[in-house]
Amino acid sequence: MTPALYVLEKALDAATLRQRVIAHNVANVNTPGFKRSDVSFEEKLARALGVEPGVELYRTHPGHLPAGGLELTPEVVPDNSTTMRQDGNNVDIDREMVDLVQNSLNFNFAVQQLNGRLAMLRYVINEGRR
Amino acid sequence: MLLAPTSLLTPAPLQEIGRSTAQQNTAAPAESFGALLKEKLNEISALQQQADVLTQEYLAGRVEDVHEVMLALEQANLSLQLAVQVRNKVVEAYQEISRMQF
Repeated sequence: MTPALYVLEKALDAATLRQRVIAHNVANVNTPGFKRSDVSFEEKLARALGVEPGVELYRTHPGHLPAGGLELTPEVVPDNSTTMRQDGNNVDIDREMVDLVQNSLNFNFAVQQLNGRLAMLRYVINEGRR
Repeated sequence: MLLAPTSLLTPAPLQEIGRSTAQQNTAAPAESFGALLKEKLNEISALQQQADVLTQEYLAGRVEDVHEVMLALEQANLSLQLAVQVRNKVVEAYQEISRMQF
């Protein structure tokens, strides 16, 4: 599988997970002491693309897992550093709505890109005939 | 430029055809058809790679414009379709010639 298809698949995973995390945040907008979460994917991808090279650990065995390498699984990151209200809750509903819109745009983008690439592959396999 | 590969297929003006073929018979051709084909295939490959790079950059949050990425993919898609159709025509022509009876 080409890197672009792999990255698009991971991006769809990330968008799905982020949708669930945002829904979770919105559902707990009035829960005292609740801390919102976020999904980290873009930073991981940027690091994997090599423009922001992370520190790579030396590996003495090929079976060892890479630390900060080409691992692209999206992760849920809780945001414990802020507080919005007196009860310790830090969900900002406006921000969640903006994140939601951005996330659905990214999801649609990834679906369309994936469709376009698969259509190209299908076209070549069919030799231009339907 | 969008759809640069088609520019080669633009027909030459009629009055120049006789002259240019006469000139080509005397002078050696600038480049062979094989070299031209290879160059155009490399261009298609470059378009595909550019689309891949732009997609990854967008997903990493470094390219802001969605339309740029969509256009790059569409350009790669169209040039690939053109290449496949040209290949089909070439194979068709070859088969037509090999079926000829003398």
